[in-house]
This record gives sequence, structure tokens and C-alpha cells, in this order.
Amino acid sequence: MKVGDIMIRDISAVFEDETVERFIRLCANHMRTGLPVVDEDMIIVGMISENDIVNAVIPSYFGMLQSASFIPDTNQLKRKLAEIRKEPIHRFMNRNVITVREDDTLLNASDLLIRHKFFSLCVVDDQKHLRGLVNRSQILFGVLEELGLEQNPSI
Amino acid sequence: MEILTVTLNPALDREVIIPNFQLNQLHRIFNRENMIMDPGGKGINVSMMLSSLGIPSLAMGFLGGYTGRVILEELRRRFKDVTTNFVRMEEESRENLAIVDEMNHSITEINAMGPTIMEEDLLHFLRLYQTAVSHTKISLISGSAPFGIPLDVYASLSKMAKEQGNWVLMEARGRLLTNAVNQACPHVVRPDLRSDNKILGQEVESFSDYLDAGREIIHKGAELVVISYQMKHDLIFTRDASWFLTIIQESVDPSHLLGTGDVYMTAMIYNALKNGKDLLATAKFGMAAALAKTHYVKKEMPKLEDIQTCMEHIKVERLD
Repeated sequence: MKVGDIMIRDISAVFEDETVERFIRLCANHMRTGLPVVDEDMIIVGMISENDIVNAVIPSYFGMLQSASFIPDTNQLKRKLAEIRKEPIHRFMNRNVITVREDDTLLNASDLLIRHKFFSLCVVDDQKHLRGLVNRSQILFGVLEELGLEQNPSI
Repeated sequence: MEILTVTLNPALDREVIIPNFQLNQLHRIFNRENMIMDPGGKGINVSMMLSSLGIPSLAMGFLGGYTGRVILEELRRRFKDVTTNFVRMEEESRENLAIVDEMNHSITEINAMGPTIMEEDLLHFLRLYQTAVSHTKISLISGSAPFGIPLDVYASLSKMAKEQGNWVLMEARGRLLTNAVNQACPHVVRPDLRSDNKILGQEVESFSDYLDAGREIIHKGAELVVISYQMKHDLIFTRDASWFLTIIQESVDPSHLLGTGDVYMTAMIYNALKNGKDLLATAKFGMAAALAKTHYVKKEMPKLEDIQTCMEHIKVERLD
């Protein structure tokens, strides 16, 4: 089974110059935690996730504290978010995007997911145009389907 | 991806089949098949039908709220060849509910109001569309527009698609269509006459009204115009000639006309892809598909062999 057999053919994405605020609203409406970032030719140039924004608004040492109870007050968070809400998202996105292609195997995709600790990967064509995405549960489902073709357990 | 379909106002079409439906009664449904849930809206319908013919397409437009998510999930689950790129907004997409009672031959319909589109969502959509048409070859723009969308939006979409060399097909009505025809006429125009008999703002009644309307759209720059006339006929206009097509040896069941317009557009795209751009043949194939569709109750693409059979039930007369 190939990535193309199980991928979600949805190419929802944001452009590099869209604001942090727009990105947060889109995530809420999409029920997504991140979105691919594309240029005007639909070529993928980055990934932006809620995590990137959270990292930008809380002081970096909080990552080490492991608990939000140490945050002195939420005003700091508000102030920081107010500062960056109109900023373009390319300032916060991750430019090092790991992608797969439709003819890649599920094994290859799962290897990348595990190695980079991602939950989903973007699927692109030869010119890096966004074609869709694939996530962990789909890969598991794909593998399960393959098992089903080989044998029919009677449980 | 060669084909792009635009649905600015998608809907979730729900159909509940209840024999002997009564007000103030509890009705239980024991068969899941009696609760049908379909993604709808004219462009989406075309994408779904193309997918059932094995032709991939990109579907674009606006989806919102919980209803929007259901539309998207159903579309993804059932039609693998449809790639989606919808702008997601906060307000809910439309939902249409029909209660069908085959025992008493009644249909009770409840149609929810569509959302209002915010300016930033419209701008986002236009930008995505501009990006998309540089990769596609055929653009289908079809159906109504929700609140908040300016009445020249189809003109803008048609212009962008034409500038990128797309073959543009449009099925619409009212000012949306009139503005598009006047400002950036699509290549193929099929006025939607389901809710009124007006084309380009003019009432059409007599045969010559229809002829004038068709020729006017050709004059504005279309290469093919299709106008349905009294259910059993189609008027076909090209730059060189016009034809009068008639369904022979067939009685058409009006209750099965639902969705024939979308089948017509899908079939024209299919024929143009497979057999090139013989415009009369394209229109005739569209009409045959719409006729074949009337043999199906559900909103689905007829089989190719059924369309071929129906080709023989259409008489073609040249008008000039």
C-alpha cells in the first residue's frame, strides 16, 4: 500500500504573509493544530503549528519548568500575543518541512513520522506542490486494511 | 489536477424516508439507508460525479461550522478522487432536510439559511483561487452565492480563470450570471432556469425570446450556450450556428429532474476531456446524460452505456 492510497486529499494551507491572528482563527475553524504554509504557486515552504505560536508567547524557560503554575500572570501571555498578532506567520514557521510523495510506501512514511516525532506529514508532488496530508491513524488504518486482505481473523 | 469546481454555498442535503409521515407523531427509523446524508451544492455535485467516472478534481469554496465539517468528511470518505481546498469560516454551512413519504407521495422540505461570508474569508478564497487556476485547465463555476459575496464575484472568477487559459463553464442565474457574461463571458454558459424564466435580466417566454437570449450570450463572447426549453428540448448555440434538440420516444419523469443540471455539466466536461471540443457533440452528450439521469431517483451520475443509449433518443435540428 502506498501513501497515495490512504492520504487525505485536502490542500488547506496558509500563505507566508498571513497574520498570526488569521492562523489562530483558521486552526480553530479547521479543528487543526497546524497548517502547511505555501507560496503563491502552492509550493510548500514551511509548517506552522500552535506550538510555534505558544513558544513565541511564553518565555523560553517555561519549557523547562514543565508546569503552567509557575507562570506569574496571564497578562504576560496576553501582552506577548497582542504584540505578535499582526505579525506574518513566516516569522514563526518551521522551514524544515519533512514531506512524502504519493508513491512512497507506508513504511517509509511511518519511519519519518516516528523518527521526527510528527503526527502528520505533507504529501507533495515532484515540484513540491502540496497534494494532501497523511497522519498516524491513517497509516495504522492502511496497515490494518492490508492485514485484512491477507487473513480474516474470526474474533 | 486539470479540473476545478467552485461551490460558494455548499450544503448538507439530508433526506429521511418515512412511510406515512404524520405531524405530532414519533417516527422511528430502523434502517440506516432511510437516512441519507449527501454533500451538496452544484460545484460539489459535479466533483462527486466526476469522481464516480474516475476523474480527479479540485473542489473549492467556503465551508463553515459543524455542518461544514460533516460535508467535508462525507466528501472525503466517499469520493477519493476529490481534492478539497475550502476556506473554513465560523458560521454554519447550509443544511437542507427533506422528509420523503413514498406512501402518501409527499416531500416536506426544510432549508436552512446559508452563512454570511466575511471580507477576509472572501479575500483568502480569491487568493487561493488565483493560485489554483494557474494549475488547472478547466474551471466550473456553478450555483448560488451566500450573503456577503459581491454580485460580480463570478465575473472576477471567470476573468482570473480565462487569463490563466482555463476553459470556463458556468451554470448560474440572476445578476451573478449576467455580470459574468457582460464582464468576462465564460466559454460555456448554461442559464439556470429552475427558479425563474429570466436570462440576462430579461423574461423569456416565446421561442424567439430564447433564441435572442442564446445569441446575445454568444455575442458577449461565449463559444457554447445551452438553454433548456420546455423540459423536452434544449437550444444549443455556438458562434457558427444554433440547433434545436428534442427528446424523442421518451417520457420524462419530472420528479427525477433533481440534479440533471449538474449531470449535464459533468457530462460536458467528460466529453470535452475524452473526445475533444466538438461543441455540438459535447452539448448533445450533456443532454443525453441528463436524460439518462431521469431514470435514476438518486442524485448520481448515470452509467456511460445508459448515456450512449440516450444519445439515440435525441433528435438534432439545425436552426440556422
